[in-house]
Amino acid sequence: MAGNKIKLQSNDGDTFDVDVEIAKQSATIKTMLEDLGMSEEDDVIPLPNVNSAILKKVIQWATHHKDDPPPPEDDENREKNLSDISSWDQDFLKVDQGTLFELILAANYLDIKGLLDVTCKTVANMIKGRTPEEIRRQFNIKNDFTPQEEEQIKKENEWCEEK
Amino acid sequence: MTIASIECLPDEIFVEIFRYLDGYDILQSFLNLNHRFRQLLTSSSLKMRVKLCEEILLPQKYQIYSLHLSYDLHMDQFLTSCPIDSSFNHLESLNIQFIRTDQVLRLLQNLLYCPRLHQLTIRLVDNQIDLYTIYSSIFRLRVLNYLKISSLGNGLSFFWPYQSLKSANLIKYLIIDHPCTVNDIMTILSFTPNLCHLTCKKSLTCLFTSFPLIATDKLIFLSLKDCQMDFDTFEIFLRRISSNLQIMKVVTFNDSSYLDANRWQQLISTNMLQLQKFYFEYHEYFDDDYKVTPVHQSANQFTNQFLIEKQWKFDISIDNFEIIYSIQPYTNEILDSKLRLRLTKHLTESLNKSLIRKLDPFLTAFKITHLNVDCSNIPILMLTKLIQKLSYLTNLTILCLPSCEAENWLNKKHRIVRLSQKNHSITQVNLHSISDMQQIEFVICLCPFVEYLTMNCTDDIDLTSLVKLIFQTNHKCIEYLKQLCLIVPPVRDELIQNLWRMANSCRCNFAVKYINEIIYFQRNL
Repeated sequence: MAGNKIKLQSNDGDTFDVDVEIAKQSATIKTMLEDLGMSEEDDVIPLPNVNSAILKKVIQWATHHKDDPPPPEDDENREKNLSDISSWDQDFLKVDQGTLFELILAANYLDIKGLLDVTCKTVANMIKGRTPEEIRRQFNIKNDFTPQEEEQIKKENEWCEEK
Repeated sequence: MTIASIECLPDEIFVEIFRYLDGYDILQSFLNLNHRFRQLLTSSSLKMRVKLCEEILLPQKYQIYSLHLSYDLHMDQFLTSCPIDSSFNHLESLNIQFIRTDQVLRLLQNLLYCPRLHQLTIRLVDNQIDLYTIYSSIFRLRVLNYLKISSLGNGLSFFWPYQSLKSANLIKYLIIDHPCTVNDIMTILSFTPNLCHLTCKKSLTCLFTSFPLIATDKLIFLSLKDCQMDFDTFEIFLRRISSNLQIMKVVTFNDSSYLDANRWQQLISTNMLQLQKFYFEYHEYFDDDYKVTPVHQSANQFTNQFLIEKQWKFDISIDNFEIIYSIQPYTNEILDSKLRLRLTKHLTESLNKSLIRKLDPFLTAFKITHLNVDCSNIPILMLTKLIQKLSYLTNLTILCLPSCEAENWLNKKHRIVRLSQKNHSITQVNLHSISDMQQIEFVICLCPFVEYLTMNCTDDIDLTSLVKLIFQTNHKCIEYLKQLCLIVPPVRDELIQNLWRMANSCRCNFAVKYINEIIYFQRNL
């Protein structure tokens, strides 16, 4: 039997019908529904920080993970592990950098811990083991140090270069 | 808004991303990038974890919240040049691999001054460890709440004074990864009144069965991964500490008394009223001389009402060398009093020839209703003969079928059809990975009375041919089939329509639905 639905509206005006239980993976939406007394049937929940394309992806992720167990209570204390991204999530996150960053922002705004974890983990994997030059090229980051500043930083942090 | 660059992400997101990276990687990659990242990395609000493998200078100690000292670090030199003390005032987690007891004792003196240290993991290199000295020193760390001690060596167990202080420390999680005795455990429990989770990963034995009365009100989780006590001793120990246990995991060997279901029921229903999840494994060597004794037969009682009410299930798993009797909570299955047999992939072809003979006394003692079998190494004719012996079988799950083409299926087909004519009771069949049509034909011949058939189809399967084989070939099974589920890669709606037409072109009437990459064929009654 299908569950109750709510309407989520993106910042470009599109609305999406979503099962309440799926939408409640977002702590932000859950709070709106439970604490602010919004009803499930009539109201449209506006999400001004998320565009239609990203909201669609977020709903796709939340639908796939609807039966996942909640994260353990002491999750914050656990050593973060880079390698445990499911193959479904890996395929889901084969997107351009802009989309990946927007998914991170959406997960952060909507407070969806699992999605934030897996997107941050994906970016961390893109960073791990790369030199500053490689990071600059990969993420198009501008160098605003003066040559003198750069020299000074290198001297300060020789410990890091020695390894 | 479109995000053009990673630099558009706020600092809070970078802090989250950096939690997945070692401090060395973060500094290596970001410190020299630009002003924004330099400011972020030198901010006192950013905390890092660091894994040290070589002698390098540490960055700002106050930024380190997690420190991992690897096995290839020169420990003496490191601890002298960089004592882990109050200067690590944000250190929360310390993991030290391969350290000697004398080094640990010196380190622990300094750790007393780390105000936030709540996780400590130590792997000792000594052949023998002095449990009392190590543990009593660690218990002085007042804010520690997680402790794991590993060693391959034996613990030197001698008389420990029981602790009477009620608020000795805050340890909630304790993982003992070295051999020890239940007498040591009782003493440790007297030091750790806040302990919730206790795991013993190595052998657990008993010196003497006179246990003191220790308050274990908060102990809700117990895991014993190599319990070497006989059941009598284990029961005395458990009665002392189990009153509030909610989850218990026990792995044991050799004493078949552990299979006494009635005794477990008595123990749990009188002493362990809070127990919600029970994981139990009893391992025995499974050789040609394996004897099923009356004690083994008493394990049949594990399918009784008590376990059903608790929502636990009993399984038996067999490979070439070992038989494992196990209990575990149900997951999403229907609660019932059935007995499940699991034949694992470790069965090899050479030993399969004696498998049926080895299983005979076993199958007489137990009425197996569910069979879960990995056929990677079991020939299809052997599987057919085995199933013929399981006259109570209702549910068959096949994890991996051999390629029928390689097995010369067509030559064996008539024999398999003949041997399978009496497999009336098998009504539910689940195939985890199907890659060729002959495998499907084999299973249909093996289970001609199947009512519920589920198949996980790989990309190699042509769905049109599959549906044609099942619905349009003159197979007996179509008379009984009530539901067919095909777990498939994404397909187009036109294909579903086509499959529906094929399924209904025979004299049967099936509804077809495609939901979440599963095609359901449901007989309209």
